[in-house]
Amino acid sequence: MIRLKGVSFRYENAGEGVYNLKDIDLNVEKGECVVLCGKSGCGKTTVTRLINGLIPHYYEGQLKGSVFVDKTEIADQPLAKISQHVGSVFQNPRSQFFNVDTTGEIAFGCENQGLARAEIAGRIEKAAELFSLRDLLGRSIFDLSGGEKQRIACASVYAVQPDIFVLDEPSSNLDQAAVIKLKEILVKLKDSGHTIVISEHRLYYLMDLADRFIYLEDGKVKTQYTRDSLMKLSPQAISSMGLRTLDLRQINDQSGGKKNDMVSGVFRIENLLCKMSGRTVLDIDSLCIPAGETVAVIGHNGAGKSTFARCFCGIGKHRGKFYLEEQEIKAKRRLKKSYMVMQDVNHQLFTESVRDEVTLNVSDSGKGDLETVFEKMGIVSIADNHPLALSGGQKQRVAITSAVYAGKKFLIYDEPTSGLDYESMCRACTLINEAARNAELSLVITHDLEFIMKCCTAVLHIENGTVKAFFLLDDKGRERLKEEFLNIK
Amino acid sequence: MGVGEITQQIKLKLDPRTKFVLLFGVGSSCLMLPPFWLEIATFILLSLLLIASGRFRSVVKFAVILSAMISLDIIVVPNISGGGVSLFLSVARMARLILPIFMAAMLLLKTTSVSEFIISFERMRLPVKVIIPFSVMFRFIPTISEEWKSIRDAMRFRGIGISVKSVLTKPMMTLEYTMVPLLMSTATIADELAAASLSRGLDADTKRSCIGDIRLHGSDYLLMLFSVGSVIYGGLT
Repeated sequence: MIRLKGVSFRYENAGEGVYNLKDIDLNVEKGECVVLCGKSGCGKTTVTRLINGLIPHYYEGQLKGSVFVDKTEIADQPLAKISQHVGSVFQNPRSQFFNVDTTGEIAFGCENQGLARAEIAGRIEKAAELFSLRDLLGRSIFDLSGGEKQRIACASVYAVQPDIFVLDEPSSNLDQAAVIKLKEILVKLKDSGHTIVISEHRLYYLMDLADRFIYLEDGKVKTQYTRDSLMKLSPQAISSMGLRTLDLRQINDQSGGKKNDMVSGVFRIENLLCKMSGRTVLDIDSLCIPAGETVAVIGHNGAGKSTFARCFCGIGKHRGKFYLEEQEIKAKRRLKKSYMVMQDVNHQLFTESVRDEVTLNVSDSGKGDLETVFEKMGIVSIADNHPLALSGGQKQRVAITSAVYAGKKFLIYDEPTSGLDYESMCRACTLINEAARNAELSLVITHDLEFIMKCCTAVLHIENGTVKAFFLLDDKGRERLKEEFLNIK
Repeated sequence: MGVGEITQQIKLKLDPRTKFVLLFGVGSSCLMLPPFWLEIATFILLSLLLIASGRFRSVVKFAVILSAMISLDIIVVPNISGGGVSLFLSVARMARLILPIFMAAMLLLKTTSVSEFIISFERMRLPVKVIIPFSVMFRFIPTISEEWKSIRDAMRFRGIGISVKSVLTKPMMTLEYTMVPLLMSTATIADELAAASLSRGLDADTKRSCIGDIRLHGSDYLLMLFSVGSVIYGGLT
């Protein structure tokens, strides 16, 4: 079905002679489900682009070797033609929709082919039926959660009726429940005979689905595993390959984060109420959080996690009172003491060098030595680079350093590990723990169980706009958290 | 002219071309200082169209604003004299003139899907080279506003939030802090969006179809007639 023969590829803007893919040979049979895995930058996304034709038709560069889909060479066919056989779902739900309404989006691929209206309507019907999307039809894309968007993306590809599905890290922005829904969709696709190629960091949800795992390293196919041979590897071996856990049950990290013992007292939040366009999104009567903890804020997409974080740091409109040691802290004061590391770090880099970025709007007196902070946070070597020329991980590092240098006390992280491989996830962990040593409270919005077990000291579970549970991550807490994650349906 | 009758049909669907003509017509006639009755008629017509497309709350807001402007004109202006009067007059009248344009733009942007846009551009026989950039731009307006919200938040965390003061005292710096992240994030999104839409066959040679029923109905012709009529009337008087 899909055949890559001796393929090497170098992106136009990559360094001279640096090939992003080197001599790849790969065959995928009809009806097979193949997972591409490996560390960030190993070339797995590039392989998906070879199959859906974005290389060489959209991303330019030097291509050697040949890619065949259904015995026709990809390079000889226009993208529009390829799109009828190969459907693509991308990582970022924010940027893969061309329409602003869901029904229009599902119809989009069919409209491009010029299918008749009745035919398109029938296909939308069928896709909505198969993926249980009936309630989502006719809605605005901007009102959907990440998981809902990814389901719409799958449906819109399905409506075109391609034989092959190519998915590039589709679970990156999804919560646990949405990951399970995504898996159900993939199972249905496989059962109906579709060929699936999927590049992914999170492997656990693919274990009863995938036939083969292709492990890539530095642009080469290092090893191929069957499901069984991959399962035989120890969790340590998996981690050292840079892969995420194969089984949530196996996560057994006892390291955890460390509470900042330098601060004492308890944050008390009372009668917190937040409404958005008339709808109550957050309603918390009373909540106590010990100061100095690194709190994982978990819950479904849309449960109110971000709203809670925004209220806490005083940037979101709300009613209610916040106390530390019985002393009220008003919203304005909280905002001054807070810093949020956003999911898209590009939003918060403003200047021309890392040095300027970190010192931006920080008065010189009493903020500690800049060089020491740089050293502690590991950004000495990039101090004079342009922030926007850095890698994603480095940008995150710079953003966190800015918060530390400015002496911010409430640190909020919005899904800091989405789409990260094992190594990068560990680095983010170290960084967050380092920053937490000077913080009065760190809140981490996340869906990543492996990361929580490694980094956090407490869990705040928000569901339907209110607190479902708050508990410390001692031995008992760990068991409880794991239990909750495994029971999500 | 049977406004009620028109709105009943509107519930079916307005052709995007009609909305374009309406925006253009209302825009031109408003800038030509229409008489009071035409102003009110335009307002009522647009209100009905917006209500028919489920924008009742916005219409209430617009109605409140309009009544406030008119009462200013009627009650306040005759009772004060001097420089204040002309200032008041100009502010109130200007806002009143822009209001219908705003409403027509809202009707166009909020009730038309991207695919309807593309198809109606095609019916206007515009070349593909014009259609695709335009429709991408149309798709991009809400995205930019989403991005902008995040960037404004990020700025507030750094204590460089945008305010009247910052714009007046440090205009260049404020512009830089806004534009750099905005350009970076939108450039990435634009790139990914282009890749995603091409991989779904946006540039196919075949003639596109559309799930929406894009045809000119009686109501479309009536509305176009109204638009053209109000421009001609404005030009004559």
